[in-house]
Amino acid sequence: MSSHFLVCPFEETLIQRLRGRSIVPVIKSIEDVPKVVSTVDEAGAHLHCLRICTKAPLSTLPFKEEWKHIPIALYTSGLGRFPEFISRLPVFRQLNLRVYLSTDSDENYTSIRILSSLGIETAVLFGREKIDWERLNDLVSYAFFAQGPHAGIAPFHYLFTRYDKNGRTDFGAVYFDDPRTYLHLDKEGKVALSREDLEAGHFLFEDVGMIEQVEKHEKYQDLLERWREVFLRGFGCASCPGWRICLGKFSRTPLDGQGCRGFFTEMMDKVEKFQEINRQRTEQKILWQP
Amino acid sequence: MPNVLLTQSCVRSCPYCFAKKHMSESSPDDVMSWENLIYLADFFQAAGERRFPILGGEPSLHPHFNDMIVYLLERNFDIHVFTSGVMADRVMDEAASLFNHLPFERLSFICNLNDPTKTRTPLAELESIKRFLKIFGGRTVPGFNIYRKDFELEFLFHYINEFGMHRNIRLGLAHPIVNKKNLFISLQDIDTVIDRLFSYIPMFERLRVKPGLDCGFPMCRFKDDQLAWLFRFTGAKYDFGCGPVVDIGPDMTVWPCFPLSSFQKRSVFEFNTLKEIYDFYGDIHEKIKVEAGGIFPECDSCVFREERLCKGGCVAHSLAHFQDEVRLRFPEVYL
Repeated sequence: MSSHFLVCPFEETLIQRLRGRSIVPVIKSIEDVPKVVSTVDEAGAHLHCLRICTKAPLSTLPFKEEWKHIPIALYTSGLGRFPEFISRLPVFRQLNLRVYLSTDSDENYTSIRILSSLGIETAVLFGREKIDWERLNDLVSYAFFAQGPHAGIAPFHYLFTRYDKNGRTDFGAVYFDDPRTYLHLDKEGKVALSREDLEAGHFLFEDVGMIEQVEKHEKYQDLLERWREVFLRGFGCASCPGWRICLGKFSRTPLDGQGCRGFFTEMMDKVEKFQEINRQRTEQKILWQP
Repeated sequence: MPNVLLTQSCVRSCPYCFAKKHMSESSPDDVMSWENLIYLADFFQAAGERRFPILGGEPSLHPHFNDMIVYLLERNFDIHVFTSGVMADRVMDEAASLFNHLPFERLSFICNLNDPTKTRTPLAELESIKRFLKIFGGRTVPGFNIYRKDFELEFLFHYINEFGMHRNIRLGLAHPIVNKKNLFISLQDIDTVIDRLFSYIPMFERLRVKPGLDCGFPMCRFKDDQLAWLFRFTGAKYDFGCGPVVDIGPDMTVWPCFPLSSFQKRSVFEFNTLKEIYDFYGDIHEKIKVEAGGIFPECDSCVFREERLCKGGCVAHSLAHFQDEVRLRFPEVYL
């Protein structure tokens, strides 16, 4: 059986067909959370994570304490009114929640830091419109070297835990965008390798039942080797030292080269430094307990 | 405990203002960023500090004043806000709804009040202060800076009763600002000021209001019976000190205290711990005291200073002794 997690829209008929699969239903309203959980449960599927994409700010979202066992990836527009957010913080802290905030809004650089410092896991969503690489660089420094205790910031902590000094490290999985881990379904059960392919209507299979053959499929293999293209072109990312962790994610966007080179190169240095610091920490001895 | 400046602009222009030089050299648009505030919260937390004193300018002019207090409270700091009491209605109303349920220990204000009969105060300013005290009087300690010999305290007693303010008065002595003109109490007037302060003993006792002395009062200028009353009535232990208070600006510059705001300014980022900052400025204070034991010539041989029961008055006075001479002393003691 394929071990891929399946990212899919919340369609009850589709979910019923995914028995035994680990799935990531995508919903737009937090009101649907209980319904999704019960449907997934009834279908005999495993809820890997619930992805909620909403324009409402975090402070207005009525999360409930009893949802603390539900893994949630929340894509939201921002923090919202601060006092309201703080009043809901005790609940947020209990949840299995990661908050994704986009760099398209200037305020979100600060919001990510505030959330992290208050113990909420966050993820930087690289915006399509603009990225302030300098502020992002500052955020990496905070994520790795802040004196105070704070929650992890993805993809920085993800890179830290998986960084390979002699190879490539892909952080696409943070955004459910790594065909080795995630496949994307449309509401009819057609299978795409990435969200980009899904949106463009480029499907690998017409039915989710064929998913077992994915690893043998030519397009799948091609996608895994797509990173080589950059070297065949021989310019831009091909000479970038930071490519080993960025893998050209910005090469096909208007942001190509506008600061990403310096950012990812410096981030590699910081990841290595942080790994070095963590190596120096003595391993915690865990004694037996009576 | 360092004071953190959220803003560098103020709505008042007190004639003794000890922050005047710093403000005049800073941009009023320069306000504390969230990034810097979080850095400082981490920095204080790593030093084991639980208190977070907030200063300005007028700190409530910061566009995120209330949000920042909410944040720091959530980080488990106890907050002390030094304010003029002149606040925008919107900020004040929001603060009332957010904070008035908190115990005094978690959030308190220290409101610096001027005697309206001695210090020119616009009517609108007075009304704003009264409105502030009406809402927050119960969590506000009155502060008063003595900058003239003929000061009066009656108005403070009146405010304390009218608004239910804390029954402690934080009394400061206006000190000279190095390299800037301000009104301050000269060395020869300190005795007069202290005698005048103690002429209020009957009122302090009758209204159960306790005086608290801020830094820079020299112990030798108090008579024994005055000291005895002070210790007996307040039960407090006074150190007659002058040490680095440490103020941190919105741009993360750090200096020992406002009268020395142009003296040995550094950046917080140059230090790894809070202790390093205190050690750095403490060392400079010690060097100044090697050059001039205190503000009076007799400080050099004073047994109380040697026993560290008194620090010899405000170091800003001492610095003024040798700033214009040929530079032969420790280089750190010059501006």
